[in-house]
Amino acid sequence: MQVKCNICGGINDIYPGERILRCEYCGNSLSIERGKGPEHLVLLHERDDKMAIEAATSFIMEKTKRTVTCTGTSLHLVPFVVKGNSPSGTSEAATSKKPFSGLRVVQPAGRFVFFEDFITQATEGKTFQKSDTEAYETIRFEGNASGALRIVHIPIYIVSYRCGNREGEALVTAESWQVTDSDLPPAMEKEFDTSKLILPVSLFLIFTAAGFTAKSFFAGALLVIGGSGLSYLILALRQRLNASRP
Amino acid sequence: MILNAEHKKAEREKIETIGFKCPLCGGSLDVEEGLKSIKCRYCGSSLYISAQEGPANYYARCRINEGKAKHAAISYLLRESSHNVGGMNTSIIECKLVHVPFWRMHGRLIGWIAGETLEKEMQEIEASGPRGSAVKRYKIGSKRKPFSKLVFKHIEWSAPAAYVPHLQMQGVSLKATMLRWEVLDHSLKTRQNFALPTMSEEKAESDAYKYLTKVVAPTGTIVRSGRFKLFDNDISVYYYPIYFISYKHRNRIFTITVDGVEGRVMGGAVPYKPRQNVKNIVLIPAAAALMTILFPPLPLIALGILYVVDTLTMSKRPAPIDWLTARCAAWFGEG
Repeated sequence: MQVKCNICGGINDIYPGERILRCEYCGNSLSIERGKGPEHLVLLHERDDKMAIEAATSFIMEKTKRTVTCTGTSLHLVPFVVKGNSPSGTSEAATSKKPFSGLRVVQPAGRFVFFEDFITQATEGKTFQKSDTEAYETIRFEGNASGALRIVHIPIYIVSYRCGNREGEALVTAESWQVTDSDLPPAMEKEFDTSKLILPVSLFLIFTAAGFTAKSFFAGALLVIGGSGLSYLILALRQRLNASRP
Repeated sequence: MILNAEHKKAEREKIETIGFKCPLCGGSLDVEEGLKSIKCRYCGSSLYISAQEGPANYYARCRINEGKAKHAAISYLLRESSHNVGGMNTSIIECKLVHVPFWRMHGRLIGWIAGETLEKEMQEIEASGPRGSAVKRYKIGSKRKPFSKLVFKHIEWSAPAAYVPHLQMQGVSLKATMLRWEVLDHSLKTRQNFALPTMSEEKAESDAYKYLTKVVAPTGTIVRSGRFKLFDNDISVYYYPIYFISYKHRNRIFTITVDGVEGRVMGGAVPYKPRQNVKNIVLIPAAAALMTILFPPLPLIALGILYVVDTLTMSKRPAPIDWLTARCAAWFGEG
């Protein structure tokens, strides 16, 4: 955004969070006095549907242990009010539009520009590309900005997915790839894979058979110990080989 | 992009500038963010800046390039997972350098605390011995003693100014004195990744005050009252460069954080891989076989004893078959 120096009238660029500026024409230090209300900033983001889908899939898989297929995405620029004393560090969406109303996200890290610049400069391609602005559907700010540090407009993906026989929508925050979904299908129960028992049981049978063929208990015990040592070596070697394979 | 006139109106605010001038001689002043007092370069008078000009912002330059950070993350991942993660199923999907803000306060604290300390001591008690004779016995008791202390110390406090997931750093207090910090050029925020502070200066100050007044009390004392005054204190924002490296392993995303100045891995998530426990797979059947050749029903007896011992402390005893599957899962790797 640009401001006029009140001493020499020169036009200077200002950036988010800046409080004191040195005029590049007359060299005076200038205090930047904002009118009412906090800064409106936009988080710059290049649309990346693949990453949004991956983030949503990872989240749903972790929570439900089920396979997920994502069917579609859409991108929206949603305003959030950042308050300076929020205990959990999250900010609430300042819109009544569903599904964003009441959404709380952690403010992502990224490149921030003034909302005004976002609209006017995009056409010049000065700090960012025109495609940055065209990717979104913009959600209007409706909320109370009093006492807020700033208003950030954060790109939010809506990823629709199918999980089992249920269809749902997950909200993915751009840049931080934080996923929110209040309506997840129930988690699948973890079951023990009985095929894991094949190896120990067969080893037990082999050892027992070898032990019984021996004449005395000590000879049998020696056979079992020798056999287990040998099989341990083989298994450990196999695991090492598996791990180092590219 | 849909944008209406109302929308634009809401964003367009009145922004004005006010030049700093010496009130005595009218000379222009060179003021920086966070500055509280200044000397006029024309007339030499000392001036106090009463306007709220925000905290000073500093940042440390990133000394590690992306390749080095990735290398550190990969070697960390290989080491932590004992070479089990990597290869075909794992790929780095994002490597992002973020400047993370920390509040830092330093200054001096003067104050006074009063309360009580608990002191342990041997207490003599009278007791009647055998046949009615008086015997001296001792007991360890605690005695409260009043105490008061004058506090005068240099303080250094730091905390993250924004919540950043996967951040493995508590503060920059020590680093703030060791590193070379540069004054932040705000135009960087449109070119590089920044996490903007979400904790206000007032909140940071009150947090610092709460923390500092708590740590001055010596251990083992109960503070009943206290009075403190912070002075010569200065609060500022320090941006520290941190790499966040996300990788995908079997469709799951994990993040490793790498220090952008030292190149050290600060922490990160390593996927849990259901590993076969080779030692158990061989040892348990061998032990069972040994018992069988000694006396065939012995493994069953051992299993029974183990079941009883395992479930002894449980409030509700699980069915033997459930217990056995859970045991097998623990022994031979989970499914």
